[in-house]
Parts: sequence; C-alpha cells; structure tokens
Amino acid sequence: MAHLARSNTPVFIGLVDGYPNLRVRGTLKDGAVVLQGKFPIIYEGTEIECFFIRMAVPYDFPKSLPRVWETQGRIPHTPERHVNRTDGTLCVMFPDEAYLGEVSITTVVNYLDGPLRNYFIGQLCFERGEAWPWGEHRHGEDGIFDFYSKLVGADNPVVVLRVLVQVYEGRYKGHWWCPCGSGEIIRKCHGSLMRRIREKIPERLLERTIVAIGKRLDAPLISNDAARR
Amino acid sequence: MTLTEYLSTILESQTLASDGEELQQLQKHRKAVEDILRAKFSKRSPTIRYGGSVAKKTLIKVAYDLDIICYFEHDDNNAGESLREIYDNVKDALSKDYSVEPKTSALRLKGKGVSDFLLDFHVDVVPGRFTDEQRSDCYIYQASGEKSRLKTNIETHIKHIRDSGLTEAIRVMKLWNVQNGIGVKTFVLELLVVEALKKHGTESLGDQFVAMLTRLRDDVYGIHIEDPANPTGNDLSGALDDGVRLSLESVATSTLSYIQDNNFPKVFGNVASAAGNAIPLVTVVSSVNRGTRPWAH
Repeated sequence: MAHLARSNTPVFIGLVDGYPNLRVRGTLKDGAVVLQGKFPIIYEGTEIECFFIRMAVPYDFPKSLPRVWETQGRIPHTPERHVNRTDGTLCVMFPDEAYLGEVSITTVVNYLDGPLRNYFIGQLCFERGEAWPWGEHRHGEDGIFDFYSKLVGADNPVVVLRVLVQVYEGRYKGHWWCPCGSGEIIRKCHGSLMRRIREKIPERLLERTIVAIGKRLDAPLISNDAARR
Repeated sequence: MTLTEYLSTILESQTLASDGEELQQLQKHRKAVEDILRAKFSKRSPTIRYGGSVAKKTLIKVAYDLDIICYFEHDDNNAGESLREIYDNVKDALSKDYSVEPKTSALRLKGKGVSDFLLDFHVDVVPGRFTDEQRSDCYIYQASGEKSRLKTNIETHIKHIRDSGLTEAIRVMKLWNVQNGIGVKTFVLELLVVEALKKHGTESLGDQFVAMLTRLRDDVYGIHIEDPANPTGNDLSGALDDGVRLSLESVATSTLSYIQDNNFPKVFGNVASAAGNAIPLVTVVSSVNRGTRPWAH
C-alpha cells in the first residue's frame, strides 16, 4: 500500500490509514488493482465484526465500480444474500445509484465506508434473523425497473421506456413534448433528469436498462435508430 | 496492555466454543462424509482420519478447517487404480451431497442447496493410498505441480505442529496471514513458524510474534522449510516463491512499525470483541447517514 499512497493516486487516498489490513495483491489483466484482507465493521472506534474480502478496483474507478468477493465462504452465493451465483461477486448496491450521484463515491475509501460497510451490516442483520436495514432492491430486472420507475415517477413501463429511449437516442430539444406524455415540454418536465442520465449513466447500462424494461412490454419499445445500432 | 496480553485476548476471541455452532457443524459433516465414503467404497472400507487445524490445535475462528483423510490400502483398487482415479471417484461420491471444489490434493466441501449454495463448510477431504502394509506413509494425488503424486504422513504433520510448543504463535501468524490477505498456505505457514521460532520456544507470545516478524522482515529469503513427512522428496519451494516472500517481508515491516508505535489495534483491531458484541446492531444501523440497498443480477 505504501507505494500506492506515495504515487499520489487520488482514488486510494486514505486507504492505508483507514483499512491497514487491506493489502494490494496485484493487478488483473484488465488493469484492476486487487486488494485483499480484512474488512472491519467499526462503530465509534470499536470493531464489532469483520469480513474478509478480495476487491478488484477497476482502472477507471469511480467511473466503474469495484467487484468484491467475500473470501471466507461465510456468505452463501444466493440472491437472497445478494451474492451473484455466476461469479460470487457481492451485489453491494444498484450501480446506477452511484453513477447518478445518489450515493457519492469518489475514492475507494468512500466506497468502503459507505456502500460496502452498509452491505456487510445488512449481512450481519440477516445472520441475526433481522431484515436488511435499509431495504433491498428486487433482484435482476425487477430491481432495474423499480429504480427507474421511481426516478421517472411513473409506474407504467411504457412511460419509463419512452423517457429512457429518448435519452438513449440523444436527439431531442428542450421545447419538444416530453416523452412521458405529460403534455409539458421536456425542459419543464423530465429535462434535467434526462440530462443527468445522459451525462452520468454509461451507455452499456442504459442499453441494459432499456432491454430489461422492454421485456415487460408485449413488444419492445425501441426506435428504428436504436434497433439499427 | 502488553503485546502478549493483547495477542492473548485476540486469540481468545478466535477460539471456537467446544459446544458452539461451528464445531457442531464440523462434527455433522465429519459424520456425513464418513457415511458417504464407507457406503460408496464398502468392499474394502477406507481408513478415515482427521487432521487440519482441529487436530493440530491451531484453530482460529476466521480460518478453521477439518481435514478428513480417506486412505485406501496399498493393494486396494476398489476406488481406482491410479491416484487420479481415486481422487476423481471420491469427488464423484461426494458431489451428490456437496458442491465439491477441487484443490491441489484435497476436495473442499461447500453447500449445494438453494439456501446454502457455495457456503463453505470448512471441510477438506484428502483421498490417498497407503504406501505399504504399515499404513504410515501414503501417496496423495497432486492436480498441479511437477509431480502428480506426493508422499506424506498426516500423523507426522500433526505431531510436528501440535507438539512444537508454538501453537499459539502459529495461531497468531495464521490470523495475521488471513487478515492481511497475504495468502500463504496454512501448512507452509505452520512450518515457517516452527522453523523460524525453534530457538524462541520459551519466550512470551509477544516476543515470539516480534521475533517472527523480525525474521520475515530481515531474512525472509533465508528461511528454508521442509516437509517433515518427506524432507527430501517433497519440494515446498513453489509454495514459498519470491512473490510470497516479498509480501511477507512487506507486511511484516509495516506490522512491526505498528507494534513499535504501540499501535496494537492496527495489527488485529481493537481488543473489544466483548464490547463489540455488546453493541446492538440497531445502534450501528441508526448511526449510518446514508443507507444503501443491495441488489443481485
């Protein structure tokens, strides 16, 4: 860790002091830096519990979020425990929340102190037979729809999709009618949200979202432009 | 608080209760595995013995394991002619009830059900075959490495570690290895400790820990270990390559600096497991400014 701190890598600032037992184990072929070791849950200076993790911090963090694995086999790989069965990664949070700034993540320590700590507190609650303290996103595509439905402010997947597809196509003006069907122009309706989504959400995630929500319809709502891409 | 007192308290928090859930689960799987293997290979029942940190008395809560060795007679082809066949057949027998993760010589058992998928049961099954009628040494299969088989002796290993007088120091080093993600294999670490501390057996735990770290910091490339069951035959150099030695040296350096600064909590955390357990989770939850919700793909 010393060399990382000395190399003035902003995203790793505070890691050595905050998490002295998380060590650099190397880098992956894709450039991700791998940290491994103990992740303590500290409350007012007292360690109440700990987990052991391996974390791959991508080279473009925080544009991309870390992948995390629990290394002691303490948490079964089930959706109920929010661990992906396919690769054992922890589903710490819905990533789009971070991209949209709903949760502020600028450094690795932000991520550890915030979402990852919350995730493991949730696991402790589960182990003790209690509910996840701040609720849970529904799994898979249900969770994706729930998030964007709330963001757009509409329960109808058609409405949500129209807004997202408009963002995806990227060609609209503020004085156009808002795709949500409110009768207002974009600028006075979902304009700022659409700008946020366009600026913050990676295109691949937007595509994923459109496909996922589109499955809820009898026919996918994709324009000719998007279908051609 | 002295370093020895600190380490002793930490080790106490790492001790599994004799009537606790973890040991009961180990007992349960021990019996289940034995039943499976005896039923599957009933023609000439294998010898089943127990090893690992449980037998060596080096168990720590964050990294405990039970080794179940399953050895066939030297002239018994019931489970297969070759060691590879024995390994595969034992794996197949266990795969009906467990998710089996193949390791170099052992088979790690994990959950297979909907609710315990890949939950680690901390049990390794090691298939093998005795070398002769005396049933002391045995051959085990090696899935990787230069040789496809290894000659070893579990009783020798257990005695070498358990009777070294250094089990507490070994436990401390195991915890240090796990907590810092160094990744040294447990067996190799045990041998390292026994070798490095052979002249420090009568010292306090704190002094032993410092002596061990100092040796790793100052002379990690000078430490040589041998398999006590087969010193000339089994080459352990691969498990202690330059990358691992460098990690040991680096982490030992930083740990020693924490100790020299009397900053013990940076080594293994606060000695407050009792206090920590008394803090209700609801208190911790309510202190969080911004909760987040997990998801799953």
